[in-house]
Amino acid sequence: MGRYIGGRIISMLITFLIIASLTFFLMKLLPGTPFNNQDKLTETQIVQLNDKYGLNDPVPVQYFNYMKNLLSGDLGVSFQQDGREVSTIIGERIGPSAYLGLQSLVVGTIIGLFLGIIAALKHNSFLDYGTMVIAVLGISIPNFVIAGLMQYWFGVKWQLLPVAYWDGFAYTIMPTVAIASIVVATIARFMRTEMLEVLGQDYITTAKAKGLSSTAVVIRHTIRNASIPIITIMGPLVVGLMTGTLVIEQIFVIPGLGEKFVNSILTNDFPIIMGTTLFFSILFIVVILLVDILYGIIDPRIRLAGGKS
Amino acid sequence: MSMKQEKLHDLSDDMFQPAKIDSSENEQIARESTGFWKDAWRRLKKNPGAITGLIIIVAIILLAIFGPGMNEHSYSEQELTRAKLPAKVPVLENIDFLGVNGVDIRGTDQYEAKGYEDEYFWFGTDEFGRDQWTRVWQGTRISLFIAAAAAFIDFVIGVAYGGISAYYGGRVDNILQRIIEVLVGIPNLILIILFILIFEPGIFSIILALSVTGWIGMSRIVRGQVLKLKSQEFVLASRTLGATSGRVIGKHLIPNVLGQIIITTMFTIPSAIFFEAFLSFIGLGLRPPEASLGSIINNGFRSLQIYPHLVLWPSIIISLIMIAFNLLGDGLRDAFDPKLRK
Amino acid sequence: MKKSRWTLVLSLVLVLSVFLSACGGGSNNGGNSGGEGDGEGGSAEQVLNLVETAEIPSMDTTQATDNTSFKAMNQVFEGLYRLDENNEPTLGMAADEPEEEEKDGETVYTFTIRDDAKWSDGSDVVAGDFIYAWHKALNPDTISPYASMFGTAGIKNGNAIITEGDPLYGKVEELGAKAVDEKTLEITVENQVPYFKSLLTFATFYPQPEGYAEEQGDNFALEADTMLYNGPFVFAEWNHGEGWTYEKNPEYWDAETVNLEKVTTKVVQDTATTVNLYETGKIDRAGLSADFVDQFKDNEEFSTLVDPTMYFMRLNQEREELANKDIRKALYLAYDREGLVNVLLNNGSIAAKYFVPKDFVKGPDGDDFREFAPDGFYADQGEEEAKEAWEAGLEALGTDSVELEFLTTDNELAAKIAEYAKDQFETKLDGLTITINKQPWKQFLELEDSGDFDISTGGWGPDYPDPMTFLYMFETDGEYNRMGYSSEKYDELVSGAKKETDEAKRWKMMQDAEKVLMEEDIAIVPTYQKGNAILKKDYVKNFYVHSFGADSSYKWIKIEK
Repeated sequence: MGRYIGGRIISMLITFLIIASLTFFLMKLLPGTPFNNQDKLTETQIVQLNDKYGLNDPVPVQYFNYMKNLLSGDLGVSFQQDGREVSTIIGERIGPSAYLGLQSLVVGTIIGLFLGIIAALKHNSFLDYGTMVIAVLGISIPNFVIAGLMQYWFGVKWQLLPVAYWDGFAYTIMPTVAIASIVVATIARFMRTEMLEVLGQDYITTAKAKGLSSTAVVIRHTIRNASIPIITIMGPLVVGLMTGTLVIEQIFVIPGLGEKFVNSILTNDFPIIMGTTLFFSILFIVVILLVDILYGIIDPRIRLAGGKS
Repeated sequence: MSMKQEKLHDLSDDMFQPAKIDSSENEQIARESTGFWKDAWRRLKKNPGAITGLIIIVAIILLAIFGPGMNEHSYSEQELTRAKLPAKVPVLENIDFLGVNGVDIRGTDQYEAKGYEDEYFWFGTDEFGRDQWTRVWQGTRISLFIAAAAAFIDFVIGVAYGGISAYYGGRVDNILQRIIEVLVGIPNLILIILFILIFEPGIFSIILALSVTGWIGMSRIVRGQVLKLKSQEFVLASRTLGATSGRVIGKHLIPNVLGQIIITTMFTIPSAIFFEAFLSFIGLGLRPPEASLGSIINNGFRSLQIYPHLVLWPSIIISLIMIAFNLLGDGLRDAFDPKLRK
Repeated sequence: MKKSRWTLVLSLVLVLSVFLSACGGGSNNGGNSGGEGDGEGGSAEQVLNLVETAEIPSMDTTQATDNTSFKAMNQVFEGLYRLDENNEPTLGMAADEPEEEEKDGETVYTFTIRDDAKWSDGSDVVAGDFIYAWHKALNPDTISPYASMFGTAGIKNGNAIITEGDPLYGKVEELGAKAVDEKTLEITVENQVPYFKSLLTFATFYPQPEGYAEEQGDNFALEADTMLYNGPFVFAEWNHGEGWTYEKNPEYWDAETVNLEKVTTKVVQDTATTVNLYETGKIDRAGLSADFVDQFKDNEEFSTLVDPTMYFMRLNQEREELANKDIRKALYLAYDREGLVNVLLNNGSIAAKYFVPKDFVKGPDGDDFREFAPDGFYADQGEEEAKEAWEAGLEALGTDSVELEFLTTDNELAAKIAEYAKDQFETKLDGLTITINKQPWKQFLELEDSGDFDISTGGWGPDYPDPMTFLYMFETDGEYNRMGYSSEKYDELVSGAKKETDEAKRWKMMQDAEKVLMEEDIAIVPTYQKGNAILKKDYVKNFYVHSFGADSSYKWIKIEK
């Protein structure tokens, strides 16, 4: 296992460099300058500003400089936010995004697992259909519609929760529900399917025949065996949620990373694009590694490290 | 009684032949043989949920094809004097709680106020005075098309990629998985902007953007499942009997993963529809006046509190599509699952 | 267990509420009555709560280019002058109106800086601080996007210093501005313009604390505590991406005029959220989109404002079809601007068949510039004339169908306007097909700049209070022309007006120029002059809105509950 993880870490570095390079060159294909109010700048001013940020150098030179700085840990400064460090900007944005993401993930996963297990145990009953309809509604109504409705009813009409802003626990409730609805739906459906499959396996029958209580069967045998696909989807879900959801951030006025990322792309703020992309990739690569390791722990039958007979 | 006896007397020996006893006939299958697909269909038919789902899908597809032609309005015909009328349906308008009587949420009959008493817009009109009914079905058409394309890509690339990666394992798996990490790492939005710049905005650019990373979820699911299955006894047995890799993947592994594949596809459809909606949220995507369900909802969402009919109808249709696909998906999963076969 | 039941209930409530709001049952008291929760405080707390739609990209006066930055700077910094209620320059850092002296065709203004003009750390604002900031703006290494303002103001060598190839290029010390002593600033103007003092209210002409800025280096003005303030307010807090808070500046020379103790500003991009915050009493002023106007138009707190910002379509005159004046005329007339402003925009915008906005500047005779053609050009012509012109145009081209590409941006409103234009043009002009090309802003500019479009949407707001800020755009090969328009007559009038010193004559030349552009050549299709629909609590008094430069001033605001 140690050697396997060591190898994975080396390949992670390589992956990371490839992502950095590819993103860099793709970004250079985006037309237009990164400067604010570009329509008010004259040609000479654009040339001068490009000079100032080294954007007139040939692309390979820029690439070389960028990679050199990157390896020494310097992500550069933002064009849109007049010279603030990219790492500072990401630093101040990641907090709310990560908090909200994890909270929604925990809430959503617990509810989702619960609904999925209930539905599977009561297969084809009213409970089964009921929970699945809730799950399906969670993904079938766009989450910005859910968010908008909640804001109106809970915030304005009944004044139970604050309309927006990021100022304490009460402010996280509505955005958490809006994001968690997707998590609930996804997890519940996968859990149900997987549980149904596991419940049909021989070892469950064996366990029952041995006289194990049905709660024990569910907890000891079923859930553990059903969790492979859950873990698979959880990986990207964690990254997706932690890095922020533009729509929810906009509606509830949360100073998160999702908004920053989308806007950096739309405004050609190259250093921010690179910084956030690399940040996301690292997160994703690490999570994928964890998922692969977890596969082995949860199901001993899975052997990743060269387990060929 | 006497009749029967008489008949019996009429029987003669030449009327009988010795029965041929052929042991091979014992092995013959009396019932018609059912293949994998036929059996699945047979079991699907028994599942009321799945059939309901199928009917809803067929109905929605039919409406998407014929709906836009069901009245005289076109999806792009503007008339600002009748902008933002709420829904009004003949006959049903008399049943108040349905809310299809042309009265807006502030209690004014907009049809009367704007001088269109004799007209009916079944789903109301949008801010340009275009008929929502026509636009919603036109949008359904485009959304379903994008969803179908995404599902197809998922199937073709995702299943093959995940299957190969897990089945061969080791170095192949390692390389294929690292490629995925690279693909996920590159911001999709940059690619989309480049696509809409090169190919101009539209369905083609959206589908292209979806096909770069859309299948990754599917491939990871399939990989996870195949990793679990490939070391199980029945696969070993099949291999011992000399099955080729192709046969093991196609006949043993894929059918066992099919449940997950179907579920994932059912999720691909909403995520493709919403991906497109997200693009319209940030202002990219389709070329107006073309619209999809996502972009219609997105436009209407801005005035959710004032003109809910702009969001309500397309939301109901999107929800119906999702529910129907899920019901059908569940049915299909049960029908295809070899372990549930009896 | 409890939690899942809670979600269940919640989901049901959500689903139900979609239906409820559609049926109109439960929302009769909606909208107008809103949340008037904290109205009974008694003594009026001098706190104002606002929202902005974007964050501040820069607080460095030499680097900012956007409205949000300029607005924030106007509250915390001050130039020699600042704009008052009527958009007139009133004394700021300058103690008195300057002494004027004519010398070899140049004018020298000598300003004395107030004795009590202080930075927020208590140090004096000195003449050198102005020179420091101005040199920084012109220096090629730290060039300001608004460096051209020095030339516009007519300040000596302002243009030469930023023109590459000029012998004076980069020689900032040659600028016609110097610090005679600590409190005396001398500005030499080579080309007098009537809006000189108004320009000095602009952020590019603000001072920067030389010693402090040098000490901070790259960190200067990046955070609330790495800059000094000389305006009515200081930044108490600046949480990037979330918002910022102003507090009254006790060191400000006119601190006794300033009523507000605190102003909070949050960045909110979604209009529905803004309205909801307003209704729950969290903010005191909100901008509205068209949909919300329907809901609030009878509300007492509702009002509309007109901006001197113009929207128009560029017609690429390098295209064969659009080089034809009849075709251009048909497009100009076929577009129904009333529908656009009354239904789609619905925010007080004015249908425009002119290019220099209404209520923007007054001429030497005291009349609004617009007075000479108040309803614009071809005001009495419409669809019929459009069709005639279209037929004539098609005949000249020898074709019966034309296809044009309409380039627009990803902005929601811009896209709507494009959809409307497509429908207007196609239904009224037979044989015309419009394809809409919607691109992100940066890519839009790139395509427009390289002439890769037939029709494109454009907007322009003034940088200084003079019609020239609009008219210079369409000179042959002008930086913002971008559509291959070229008219000798127009060029002559515009360059003539730039040099003319007789105000009445200059005014006439600019009016003639507009007439050439709009009536003789129909070079562009103007669509509307921008309006803003606003909700403002009536206890907020003296909220002054400006027509150029910074959007508004908080200095005089008072809360009267």
